[in-house]
Amino acid sequence: MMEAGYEQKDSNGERKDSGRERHDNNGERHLTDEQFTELLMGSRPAWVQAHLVECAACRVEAERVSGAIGDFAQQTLLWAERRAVVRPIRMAERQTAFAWLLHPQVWVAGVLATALAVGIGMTLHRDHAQPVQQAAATAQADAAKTQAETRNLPAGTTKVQAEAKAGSATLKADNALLTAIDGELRADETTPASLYGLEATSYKTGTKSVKRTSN
Amino acid sequence: MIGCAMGETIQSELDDIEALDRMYRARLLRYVAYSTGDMDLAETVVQDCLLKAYNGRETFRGECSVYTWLAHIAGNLVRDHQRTRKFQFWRKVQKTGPDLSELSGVLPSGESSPETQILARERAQQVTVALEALSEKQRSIFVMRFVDEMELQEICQATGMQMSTVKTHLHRAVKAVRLKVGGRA
Repeated sequence: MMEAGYEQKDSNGERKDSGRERHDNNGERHLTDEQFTELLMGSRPAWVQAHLVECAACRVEAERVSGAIGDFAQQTLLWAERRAVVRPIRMAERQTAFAWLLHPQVWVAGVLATALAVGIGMTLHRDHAQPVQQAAATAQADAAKTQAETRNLPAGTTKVQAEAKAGSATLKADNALLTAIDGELRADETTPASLYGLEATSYKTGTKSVKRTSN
Repeated sequence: MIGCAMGETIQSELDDIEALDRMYRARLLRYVAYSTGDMDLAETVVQDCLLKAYNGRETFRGECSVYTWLAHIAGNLVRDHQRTRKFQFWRKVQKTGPDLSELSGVLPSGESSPETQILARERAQQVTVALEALSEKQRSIFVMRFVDEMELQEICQATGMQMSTVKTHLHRAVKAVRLKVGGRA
């Protein structure tokens, strides 16, 4: 069998130059692969029909191949229908497992809960920072007051006495600040007893207090 | 995604997941099973496809048939599954193509004689064997055209391929089937 360029006819029965003609060993013309595919897909222009009437080989082959494809389609359909019935439908399971994610209310509630958690956290953080800040402010005020007093010492006070008094005041202010910080650190420590409300009035945590003793 | 203007009939069809399953499961199962040659994958893909279509039904605007849309989704899901390493591993371990013996046990209704049924079964098996030798794209397009009887334009929509590409795959598939069935190709 061989192929050669030739004129074929379109759906209106007019000849066109595209396509290749197929010949058998006897020199008889047959449908090309493309024409055969078109034929199987239902395209049957007049000249193809005429050819099928004349050419028994093409007619038999077309019937055989289209019949086989038809059998295949029918059996696969029966197989798939049986398979679809045998297999239980799991749509409900799959739907209920993830259905809650599809509701917009879930997402809104999630966002609100996150915002609430962040808000509470920020508020607690701010309240927690206040005592130390207050102690620091008090200490700074005390130091400033002492320095002002030092400047206004009565006449006759020596420079050394004045400096000693100022240093003592600064030390006192620093100790007040450290005590405040130490108190905050102790308050953060959670003990098993405190968790269950068993803590006595003054539970010693063992945290060492830091105290400044000199400049 | 294939775009679409939703008609009321189609909308109601998509709104009922059980109806969707009843109408399209078998057809999709056949398409995926004979396109991929993997029965287990077909089960999974069809399940996911119907669920995805139901959940995304608002994106369907009716510019194509529901089945074309479903086939498009199924095709994407097959590609997604095949990309995963898990699939690659299990594919090596267990090749689970549609069982030919199971298929050959399915006979058409008793309208034809036993001899005719046996002949039909043999011819169908020849086509199955021919398809196994094809690439997945060729098989898929062959099944869409000759088994699902989809138009070429619908196949283009479902696969995202150009018309010329679809025709080329189809020609090669038909040629292989002709050769197996005993034609002169």
